[in-house]
Amino acid sequence: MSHSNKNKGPRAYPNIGDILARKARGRHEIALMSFGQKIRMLDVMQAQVGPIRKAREARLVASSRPVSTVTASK
Amino acid sequence: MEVTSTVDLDILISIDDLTNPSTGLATIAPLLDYLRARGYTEFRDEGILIEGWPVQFLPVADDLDAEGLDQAVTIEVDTESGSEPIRIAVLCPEHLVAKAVKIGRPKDRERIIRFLEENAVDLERLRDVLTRHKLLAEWSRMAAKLDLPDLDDEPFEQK
Repeated sequence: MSHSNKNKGPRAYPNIGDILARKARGRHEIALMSFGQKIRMLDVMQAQVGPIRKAREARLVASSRPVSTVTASK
Repeated sequence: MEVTSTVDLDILISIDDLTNPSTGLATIAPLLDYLRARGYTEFRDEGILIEGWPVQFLPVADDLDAEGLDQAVTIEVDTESGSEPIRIAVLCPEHLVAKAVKIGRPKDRERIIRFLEENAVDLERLRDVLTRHKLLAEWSRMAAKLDLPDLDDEPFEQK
């Protein structure tokens, strides 16, 4: 998807009220969950982002290492 | 900024790419067809489920969205060790704050406070965005209640 705004000037936009209302309903349903259900939900989410977090930590460690210079011998 | 958790993912999409030239109507059907072909067919209120995450595709709905998308910045997100990071366009802090001002729910006000407390916003740039989208008066009302800098005052102090 391009994220450029090619058409300048007044433009018509879709009404996304129904999408936002659905999202709000979803959030409300989550809010109604028990504390235990919410904690379980968080556990699942944390497990899902685990590989991303590990990759980020690995990249940060790699980028903080001093760069060694290799000189070719003649 | 300090990270916060979320239960869903919003993706702002350009309607230019989704508008049917013959009808003039925007539809995300091609996007959903693409996802369906890859096995993502479960819908929840918060969005379509992709790898366990509800993802909501939100077409740009006003000039603020359109400008935010146009001026989005590209960041890299790590995936798995050894894999190439994924490049993602995200809205800049000033547009996120302006959007929060426009929506104005309690959670949006919290978000605004966090952005400002962590000095993540360029106030000059924010004032430009708010002025352009006629949100400066709303900001001033909110600023008075939440003890935020009044961007209408000149000069204001950027921490």
